Amino acid sequence: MTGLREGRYSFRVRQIAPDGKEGEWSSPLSLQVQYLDRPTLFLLLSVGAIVAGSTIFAITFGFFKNR
Amino acid sequence: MFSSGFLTFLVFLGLIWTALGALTLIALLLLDWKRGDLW
Amino acid sequence: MTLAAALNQSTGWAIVISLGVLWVLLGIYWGRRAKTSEGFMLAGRNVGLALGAATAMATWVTSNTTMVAPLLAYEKGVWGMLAYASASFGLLLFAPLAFRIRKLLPNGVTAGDFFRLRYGRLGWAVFLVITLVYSITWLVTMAIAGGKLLEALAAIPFAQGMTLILVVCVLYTLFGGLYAVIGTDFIQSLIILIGIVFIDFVVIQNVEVAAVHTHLAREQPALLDIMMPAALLAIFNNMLFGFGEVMHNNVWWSRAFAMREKIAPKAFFLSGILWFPIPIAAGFIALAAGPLGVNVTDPSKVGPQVAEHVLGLSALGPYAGVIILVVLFCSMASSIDSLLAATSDLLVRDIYEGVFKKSLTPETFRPVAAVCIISVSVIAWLLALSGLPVDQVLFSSGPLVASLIWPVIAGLFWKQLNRTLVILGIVFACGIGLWCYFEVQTYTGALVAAAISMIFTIAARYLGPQPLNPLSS
Repeated sequence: MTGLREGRYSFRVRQIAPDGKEGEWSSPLSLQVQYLDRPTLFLLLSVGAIVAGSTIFAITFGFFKNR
Repeated sequence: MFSSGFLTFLVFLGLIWTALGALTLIALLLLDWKRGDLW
Repeated sequence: MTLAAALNQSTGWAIVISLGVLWVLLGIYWGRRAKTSEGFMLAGRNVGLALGAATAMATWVTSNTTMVAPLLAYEKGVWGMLAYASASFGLLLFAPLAFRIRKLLPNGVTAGDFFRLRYGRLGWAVFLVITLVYSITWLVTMAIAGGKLLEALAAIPFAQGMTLILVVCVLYTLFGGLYAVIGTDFIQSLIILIGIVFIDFVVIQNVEVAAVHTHLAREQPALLDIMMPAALLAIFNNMLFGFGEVMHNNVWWSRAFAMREKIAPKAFFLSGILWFPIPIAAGFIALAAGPLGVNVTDPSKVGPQVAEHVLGLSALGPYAGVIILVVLFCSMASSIDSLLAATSDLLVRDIYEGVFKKSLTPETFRPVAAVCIISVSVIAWLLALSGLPVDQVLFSSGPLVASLIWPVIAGLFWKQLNRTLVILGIVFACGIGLWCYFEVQTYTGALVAAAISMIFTIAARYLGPQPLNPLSS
């Protein structure tokens, strides 16, 4: 089960026999999909962008300076 | 949401690029072999 | 076991053994070129563009690329595929590093040479601990993946299949050194690329991309979201994990030393370009699972499961298992051989020569290298059999390797540095990065470690710096 958006979900299953006879529904399974909160996410993304960007810059700059 | 067009573009990009990669390696091998530059 | 045993046991054995015999024979043939320890460890320092680009690309295609890329796409959608593809940036960025490495260390043999000369014995020790933990866990996860693959595809018991794959790789690495590794990598790289293109092509024949999009939009909409938090975080974390892996590890440094000087930067750059689309192509296979009606009960096997399904739908039903096995075996072997060679090189050069101060002669290098290769493989074999969660250790090594990114950059390009502060930064970065990995979120470990190490390294440029001397072996 992947790719669900945030929210509350309920699932239940039942069996259908080859002769078409329907079984009983199971008791529902409740699922809450909750993503990382936005402020923490943007903080981490900013840190990631800065570090990745600085790394690429440092290598490129160092390469051209020392060629 | 990524559009259907973008997904199609991405998938075909991946497919064609990977195929070109194989062809590139073969071409480079033949070039290097001809020049005696393999290793 | 969610993949129906697509092959019978004897076919599975036959394929692995016949490919294995081929690699071993080639290993013996190519290994005759290795007359000195340099020949054995660095393939004569003369590898050209074709073989150089192929070996770098193939080594970076691991069973993670072919199995985890589909898993990432299945769990994190389009951004998952792109996040994984960003690991190619590590290869691209190693190109300018390779240029500089050859300039600074014309007679260098291992990454350990750099750390020892630049950061002294303490820095060298820290590096050796990190790289051995990472390299051995990577090797073990490949071996485990091989055993699981043979078990799922051909019902070969895990211990037997895993042992077989390891033995094959050990044998040809033993006989041929880096010549064998690089030569077989070229063949394996072609098989991997052609195999993935073929499987993708068959998937597209069975389901249109537009239909995949429609299904995902309805049933798994978050996979198409542009703002999917876990996926977005994965991009930078994986990118930095990738940078750390490539920039510190002797697998890549040994290749930089093995290629001709002018070729090395071009080969690494090309390998990054060649590698980039593979996670996308492999990832798409998993996205097609839903529309194809494939019931995925074990996401870690979604790639091979969908591949088997579509190959079964086409006229190639009986050969589905063969094709999948061959492609996956090549992706593992191309990494296992590199890890065996590079890790044993570290033991030979840095421990045998460096710590124990012994010297290698044309007569002694093969037995010493053999002991190291066999020791590394026995350790890996025991760990693979142990049932310990080695893949957890591998992923948690993200902070460890990410902490080495800036020390490598600074050590190669800068003119002055406070070495002690850099080493302190590595240790702090490892500690806090690991804490973040376990306590905050897995996709934060490498990111945080890289950030902390970066801050310490930049500070080391301005706080009590010492001039950096030219490196000499």
